[in-house]
Amino acid sequence: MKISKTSIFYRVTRNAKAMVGIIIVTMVVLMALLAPIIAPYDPYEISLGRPLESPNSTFLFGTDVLGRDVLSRIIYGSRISLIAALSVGLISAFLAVIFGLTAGYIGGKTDLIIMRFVDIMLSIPGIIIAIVVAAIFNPSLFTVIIALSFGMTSGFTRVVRSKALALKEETYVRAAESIGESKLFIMLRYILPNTLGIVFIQIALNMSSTVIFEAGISYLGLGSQPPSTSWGLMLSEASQRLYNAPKTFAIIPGLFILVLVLGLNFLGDGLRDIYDPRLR
Amino acid sequence: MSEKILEVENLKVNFLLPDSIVYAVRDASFDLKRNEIMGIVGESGSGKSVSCLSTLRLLPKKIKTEGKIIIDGHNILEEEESWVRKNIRGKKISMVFQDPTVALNPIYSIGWQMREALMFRKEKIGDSKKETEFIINILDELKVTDPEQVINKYPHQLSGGMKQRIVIAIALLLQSDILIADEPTTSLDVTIQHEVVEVITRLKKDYEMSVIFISHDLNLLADYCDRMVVMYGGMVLEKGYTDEVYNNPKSPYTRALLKCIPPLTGNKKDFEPIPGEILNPRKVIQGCPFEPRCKKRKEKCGKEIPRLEKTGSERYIRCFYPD
Amino acid sequence: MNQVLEDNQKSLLSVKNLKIYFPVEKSFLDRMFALGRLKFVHAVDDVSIELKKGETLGIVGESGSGKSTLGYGILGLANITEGSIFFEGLKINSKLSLKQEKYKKNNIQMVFQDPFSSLNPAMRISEVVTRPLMVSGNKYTRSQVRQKLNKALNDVGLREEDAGKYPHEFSGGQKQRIAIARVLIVDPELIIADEITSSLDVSIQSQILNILIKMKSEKLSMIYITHDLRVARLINDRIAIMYMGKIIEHGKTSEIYSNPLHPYTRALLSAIPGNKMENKIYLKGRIPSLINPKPGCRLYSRCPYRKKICKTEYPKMVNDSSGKHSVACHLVKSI
Repeated sequence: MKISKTSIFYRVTRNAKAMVGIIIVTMVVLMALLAPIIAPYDPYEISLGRPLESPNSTFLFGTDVLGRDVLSRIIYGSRISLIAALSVGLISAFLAVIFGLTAGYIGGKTDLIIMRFVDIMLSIPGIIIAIVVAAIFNPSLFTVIIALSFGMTSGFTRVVRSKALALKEETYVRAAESIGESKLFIMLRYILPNTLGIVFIQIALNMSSTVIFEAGISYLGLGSQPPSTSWGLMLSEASQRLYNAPKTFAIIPGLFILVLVLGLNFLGDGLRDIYDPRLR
Repeated sequence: MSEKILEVENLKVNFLLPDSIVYAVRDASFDLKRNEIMGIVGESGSGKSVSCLSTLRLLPKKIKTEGKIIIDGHNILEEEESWVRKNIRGKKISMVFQDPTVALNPIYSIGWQMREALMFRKEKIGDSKKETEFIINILDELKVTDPEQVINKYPHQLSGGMKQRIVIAIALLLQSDILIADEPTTSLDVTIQHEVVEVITRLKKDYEMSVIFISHDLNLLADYCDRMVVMYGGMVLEKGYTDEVYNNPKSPYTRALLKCIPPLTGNKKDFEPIPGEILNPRKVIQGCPFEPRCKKRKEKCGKEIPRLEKTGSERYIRCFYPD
Repeated sequence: MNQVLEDNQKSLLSVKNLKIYFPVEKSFLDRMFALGRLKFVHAVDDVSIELKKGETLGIVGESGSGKSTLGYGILGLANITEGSIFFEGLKINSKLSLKQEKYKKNNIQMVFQDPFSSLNPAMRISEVVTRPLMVSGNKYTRSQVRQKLNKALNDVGLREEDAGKYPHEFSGGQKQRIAIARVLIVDPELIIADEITSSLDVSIQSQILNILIKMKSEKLSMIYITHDLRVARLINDRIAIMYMGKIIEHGKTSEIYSNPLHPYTRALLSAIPGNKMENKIYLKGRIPSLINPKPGCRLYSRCPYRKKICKTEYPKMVNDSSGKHSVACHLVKSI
């Protein structure tokens, strides 16, 4: 099979960072998809073993305070993190592209209105939004996703808008205007395809932020609620029992969060390297 | 007969990219004599810029070079980086590039930048007051109006032609023996080009500098250079005294080049385009680089690379069937 | 009034007293602080040109002359401050009916300068070249489109197989051919070419010029904007020289080149390398600002022949009897 030397596929496979990122993320995704098959026990079943056991041959990561198998909970926890990351990533991308392209290309009053709105959103810390949303609806993974989507859209919109502004000045956009292309068609067929590079990068980075934020918000009790297997929640449970619990209990969820975030960051950075025009 | 102060012998430069090799210079040989202006003309991929950058070793790390570049008895290609930095860059050879805007630092005044250059001069001036005088003097010599005001200005406040003259002035005050000017007028308006080229010709006359003038414009070089080198596809195809090369070109490429430039006077029908694409520097060639596009090509041209042969005083042609 | 319309109808394009000024103070606050003395860049300052069908007119000038802005103005890509543009008798810089807009859009096309950014990297060549057909408002069958695409590609020396490729797979010269094909496919009445060979190698430039010569032999009407006097001579029937937003000399190409009258024209010709002409003149000094320019001839500060009147009064355009040569210079009383 002849692979074009300049194709995306070729460039991705030669970029070490991106490859490491892809491998890590793929492994976590597989873990989430195959959870029912690879998890040794039911993650919600209590009193499987004695509470707070250290890792042993029956329970590879030990047990938590209710006697549940930590390993199984970790495996199922990947689903929470990935669902959150993917949802927030895609929702924020969808909204940011619509707002950013319109603000950047149409400009004028439309731009002013959209960007003022975005600025307001940007000025509110994500945690505050999470608290408010959690207060309105009962805290759950759903509220976390809503809050984070809201929070991530603003920064993302800015990024898309500045790319649209730059592309607006490109000769091929001028040429399109001069032959009478409609504004909508120009946004969709001339500007959008050329912003996909930075959009993918931003999605990867947003996903990595989401994993941390979801864990953090759940840790604070404002997100996923027990008996959820959220890694953040597991960290919270561990922090309340630092003295009695085995050391692994607090480290393991944190480690998994770290690895997934690193993987997503590497992917984002790797993509950024690939899309850097200097390396063409 | 002037002595040779720079000799490039069978230079070959390959850029080693992760997935391919770029044959930037396939075979270049030329020399520069004391107190002359030599022009190198070529299109993209001709190797004219890379050959000259090689004399300063201003090339990326992943390269393979062959051949010799001899200055003062030293082969530049074999010396240590530190030696080249100490003895060649800014000392023996100074370079002026196409865009003067990026050659000057936007946040420092002209005077500051010129004074900074003075620090690298062979004979230091020392005294701050004397330095300023020296700088003003040089600017004056280069016909810069109100030099006392110019030294306090910033690059963005000056025109393109003015900036280019400042860049040349910096090369001048470094007391370099050789100035390499790489397309110095290409980014300037045509009525300003004249200012800059005048300055360069004065360098030869009044400062006894030797100049290599690189351009894609054959006519520009013909007006000002003593000798000319014509390059294509990484090779020297023809070289000699300007008079001879311009008025009696022997390489089909030189001839074709002259004919494809729209004439300013005379019959418009003399205009003849050159077909085909410019030789891709990544392509490995078995024969003459110009062969695919040459009107006069015969079978041998594609199979064997012609050698650069001497046909007269300073006159060399690379062609099996010269005109 | 009728006579004016008649005259306009004889020309394909008629530009009358066109002014394109760009405001320096753009924001509301800036304008407030200007206290009435608003500044404008006089990019195009009272320009009038005529183009007959089948003719090529060269607009020649250096950077800042306003030549590109003039092209954009004719196309409708720049805001007209004052003046009129008539295309086949129709005033195109005013409100037009949908039918008229469509006619204008399909018949005045532009080829831009930079081949490297004039094609959408995300579109295949087939789409790039056929877009003008798709937005033309006319209906074409699939096979008609295919036919037109292949003809356009062949006309510029490209092959039908090239249609499936993306822009980055082509060289600069080939990209410029694609840009020309894009314009030819709708068979426009008027083509405006803005410095289309400036960023190309000499040998490639010659190929593009050859395409233009071929187009010219097929009676295409064209306005060719350039700074290169050699190129301008080759393909234009008539030439207009621009300096600082004004046309200072215009006429039949052979006339201008053999008998340049305006000092600026002479300076431009003198500056061309390889030009063996007598009495070369060189301009000193800098180009003055285009913002709210002073009255009088624009070349005053740099002209070696300047007189007192040149500083205070702008010279009127003087025509020769046959209409082949016109110049605006106080030193030239009659031709």
